[in-house]
Amino acid sequence: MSDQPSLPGIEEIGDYAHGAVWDELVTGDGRIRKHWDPVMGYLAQFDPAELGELRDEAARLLRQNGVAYTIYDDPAAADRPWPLDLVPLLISAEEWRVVEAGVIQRARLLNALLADIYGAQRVVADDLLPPSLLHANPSFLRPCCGVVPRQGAFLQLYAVDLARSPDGGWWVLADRSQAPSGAGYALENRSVVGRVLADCLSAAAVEPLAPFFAALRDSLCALAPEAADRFRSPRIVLLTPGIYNETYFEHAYLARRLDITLVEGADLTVRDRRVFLRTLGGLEPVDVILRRLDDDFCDPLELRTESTLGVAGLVEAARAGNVTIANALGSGILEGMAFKPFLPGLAQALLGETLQLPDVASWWCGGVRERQYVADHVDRLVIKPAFPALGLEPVFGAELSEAERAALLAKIAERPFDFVGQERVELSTVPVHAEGKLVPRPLVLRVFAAAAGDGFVVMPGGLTRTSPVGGGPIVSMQHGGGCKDTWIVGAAAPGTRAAETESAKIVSLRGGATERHPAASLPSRAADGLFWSGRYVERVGSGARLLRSLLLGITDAAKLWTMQEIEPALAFAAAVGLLPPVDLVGAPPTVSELIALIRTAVADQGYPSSVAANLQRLMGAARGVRDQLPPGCWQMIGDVARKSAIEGSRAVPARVLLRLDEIVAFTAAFWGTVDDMMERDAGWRFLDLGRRLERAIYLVALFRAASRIAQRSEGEPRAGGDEALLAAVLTAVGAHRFLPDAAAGERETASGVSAGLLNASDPLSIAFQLASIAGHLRALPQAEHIASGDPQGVAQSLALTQAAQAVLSGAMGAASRQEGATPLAALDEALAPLTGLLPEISNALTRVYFTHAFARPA
Amino acid sequence: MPSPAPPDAARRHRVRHVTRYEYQESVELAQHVLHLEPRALPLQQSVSWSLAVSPEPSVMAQHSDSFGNPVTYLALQEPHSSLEIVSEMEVEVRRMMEDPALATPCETISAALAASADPAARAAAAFAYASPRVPLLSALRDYAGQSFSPGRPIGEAALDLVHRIHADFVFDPVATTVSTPLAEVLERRRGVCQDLAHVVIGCLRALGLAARYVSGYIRTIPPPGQARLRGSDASHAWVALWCGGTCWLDLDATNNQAATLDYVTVAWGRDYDDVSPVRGVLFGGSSHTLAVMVDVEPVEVGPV
Repeated sequence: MSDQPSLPGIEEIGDYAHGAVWDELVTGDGRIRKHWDPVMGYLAQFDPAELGELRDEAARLLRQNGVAYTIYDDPAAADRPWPLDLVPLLISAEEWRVVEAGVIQRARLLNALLADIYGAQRVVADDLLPPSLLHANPSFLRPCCGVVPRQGAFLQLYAVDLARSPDGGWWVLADRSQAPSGAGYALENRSVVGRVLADCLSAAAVEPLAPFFAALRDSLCALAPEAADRFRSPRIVLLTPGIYNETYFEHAYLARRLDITLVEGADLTVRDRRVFLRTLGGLEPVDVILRRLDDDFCDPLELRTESTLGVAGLVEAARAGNVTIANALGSGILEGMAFKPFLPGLAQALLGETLQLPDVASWWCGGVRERQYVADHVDRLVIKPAFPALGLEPVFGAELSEAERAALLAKIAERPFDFVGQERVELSTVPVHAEGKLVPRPLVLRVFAAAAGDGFVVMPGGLTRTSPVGGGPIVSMQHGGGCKDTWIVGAAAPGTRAAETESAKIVSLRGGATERHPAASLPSRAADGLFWSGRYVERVGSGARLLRSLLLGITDAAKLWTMQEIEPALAFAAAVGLLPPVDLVGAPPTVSELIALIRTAVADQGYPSSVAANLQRLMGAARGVRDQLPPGCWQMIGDVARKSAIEGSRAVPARVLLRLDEIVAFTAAFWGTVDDMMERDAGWRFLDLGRRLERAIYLVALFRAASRIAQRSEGEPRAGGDEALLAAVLTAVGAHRFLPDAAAGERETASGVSAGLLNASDPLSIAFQLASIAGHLRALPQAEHIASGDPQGVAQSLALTQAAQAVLSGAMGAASRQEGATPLAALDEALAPLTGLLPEISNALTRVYFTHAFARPA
Repeated sequence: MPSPAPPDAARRHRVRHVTRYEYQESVELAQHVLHLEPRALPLQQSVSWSLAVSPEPSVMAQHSDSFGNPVTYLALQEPHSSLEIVSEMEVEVRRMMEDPALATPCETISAALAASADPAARAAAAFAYASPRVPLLSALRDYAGQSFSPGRPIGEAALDLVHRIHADFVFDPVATTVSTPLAEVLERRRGVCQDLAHVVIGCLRALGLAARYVSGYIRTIPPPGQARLRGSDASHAWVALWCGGTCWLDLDATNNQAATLDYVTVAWGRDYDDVSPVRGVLFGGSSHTLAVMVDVEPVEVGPV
């Protein structure tokens, strides 16, 4: 397009040049489309620097909310920041009503088709659908035949990918009938964009998204088997494949927004052909499962035998009508491209209607004439797998060499029913901010429909995904694309709707029909994750404090430590495994060698006990319970883990010190947030149990190490004596306040030790840790309610804790009776039983609460 | 009591099929899916069937699978260290008349399937494509093609294929396990009845025909002068080939013959996975041993 639109006021868009395709913002003759006026007018008031600030604010909100998307094949990257572009895609309400009607019709059609495929199979008997579309299709789940969901509702949440052709019409690229992703991301995009552009949202009278989610939730509640609503409120869970799934963030986000429980397959069990959630308080019935797990992974008994993500017996529970699964198992079958050419005929046969939203022209090679057409026109087509389970990548015919083309055609001839030829689509473009200006980028719009009553409602908006390059044929988050909020504008007069953030609206959903489930219903897996999160935060904090003291001692020019002074701290660091043992006598290390050792202990993930490695473990433990932690905690963990891994690796001492300061500050902020904001429920108890147990283990190691140093120094008295050694160790761990003052004699040192061990009101004492552990254990759900694991375990953990308390009292007694010798020297032996006892508490807890008896085939 | 068939046209069998698991450690929760109840067929009448499970299951439920086989679901929800499932049946099998469909040229059958020409072809399509245990291998197509020259009657071509497989493959109870892939069976040319059935199915489907996996029992005749050994039999597997209309030809490559009055059909599916006699998922139990005993005995049917 040679005419460049003149867009006064928005400098970034001055040379916006779109191609021969439809552009969402600009008409063919270079004018801005009318429904964009309010938004472009709004944006025109900002200069580029101010627009940059708005983008920064959006990025900050996204980071704060922890929005992420996992890229497969890149475990190191784990979560990628969410690539949200601030300028939304605008669609006029007038046009949207047409799209909406088409999507609703399509959802009804696919629901009717699923009912028939898994029921009477009239469409095959009547020759409306070739039988091979079922029987050559790996996504056709035979065990689900005859399983009729409540109200005949196979689809609860349906999504469709739309593209706009150069003539302005919308076409269907793909149906998502199984467990569509993106609705949660769309809501998150709205909540961020809505906050940054709140007045613009209001001025443009954008249709809100929250009512759609309210409808989805109501619809899920209505699906609960009848027995549920008579005696108790229905329980709905969101079943996720787990933390390694690409859209795990969305699962956690949706669960929180819809106020339903996020579960993994191992959290659920089937008994009496009913589904139950394993909780700390026992088995709780589950009525409705909103699943994000693929069809065939859902049940190792009847579907994919080797699946470890599913729930054995789930198909039987659904068959018995005791649980509703949304979407129904087997609904993924319709995601096959091969169905597309048959949809117009099926719409006539099943609904008696003309299909409103056309599919991009497709030819399924299972038909003889169609195969010939594809062979003759392969240059103009995209060759796609007929069924997604085949796992083939799309191939663009025009990009093939002669030999590649021949090979593809041979493959098609060999297995014709596995391939579909689809016309190449010229996608419409939308302005995307890149390289400091707005540029046109191809887009695909995902639209969502939820079942409501007898029909469906459509989310007014959707997830707009854009290609990273102009004219790029593939639009996918997996391939580095971006996304946008989608605004439906013009239904109400501008400015008539109050400025309100979507996140505020969603809160109203919580007031719905169901009561909140009690704290005891914490899934066992979440208890496990919280316990280990507590342990790792504490471990990271104590490690960082020790390394920080060491580094300060070595590098502080004002009071450079002698090797002799450093030794106790080094020995202790070695005793807890934080540093490798250093030979100070035979081959004393240089200062720079010591710094290198500390740098390794801080930042080297390959060194198993490094702070960085423990931060990674913390990420692993906390990822699955991020919805249980107070807001912001998961974000803090991610930030500090990323920094320590990347920046710490080649840093100068000052940089390492700064990093350690940040890590210490992180642990303080983490525990501060927990103390301030977390409900004192079972989840909090497990988090704190982990923290207390880890600290107790650390303190025992600390005093035993100090004791051994004291024993050794008895034979060869050294300058400073016992108390100096102890002072160095305590300083190194930030526990120096146990020392009365620098001039303290032996007696005071002993009383400092006594305080460190026994003063139950001091949160740095071993006694305090043990008392907290005992308190938590008494408050946890009792053994008779525990669904799985060792019923004796709670009593056993408590008995172990009490035994540890007895050892502690005995140790103090032993230390005080020790005459002549230093009291410290006796502690090593006296505390020794604790080194075995404390980890046993952890093991006993694991047996009681965290045992997931993993299923295996017989 | 049904009227007894003439002795040359029908035979009655009593089958006792025992499956016994012993677990190393106690199993907390077990769910099993059984394909043990014989399906009703025009030529096979189930006189009686009973199932005894020990320990007593918490749940026992019946349904029909998508192939029309009866299925039993069991849940054992109390800790147990062994499980015994005893299926007993009395079944009367009648002789199939020689079906004129067997004379149909083989390419007529594959063409009817490819075109989904009639309701029977559309129903048979359920068994015409790759399935989890039976991938479509080009090696199988080449192997099978030698028997299916154009114009050859389908019954004759199929029996020729069975004879060749019987000659080329060694029945070997230790060469394979239930999870040995078909390609490996093909390469090593040995296996048990399941493997041979999968080879036959793979050959027939690779040619564009429809073939199903049949799970059941066969009465074995002891060597002359020897008594039958109790529990010496096993469950058996063979293949049924669609020959047009309602005609399915039962073929047993292990015994190199079309099925006779000594074959008792329990269930059919696309391959072993659809109809395995007992499958399950356990929680706990670490490891187990499995013993299976099958007895097939003739029943004398006298006047009532």
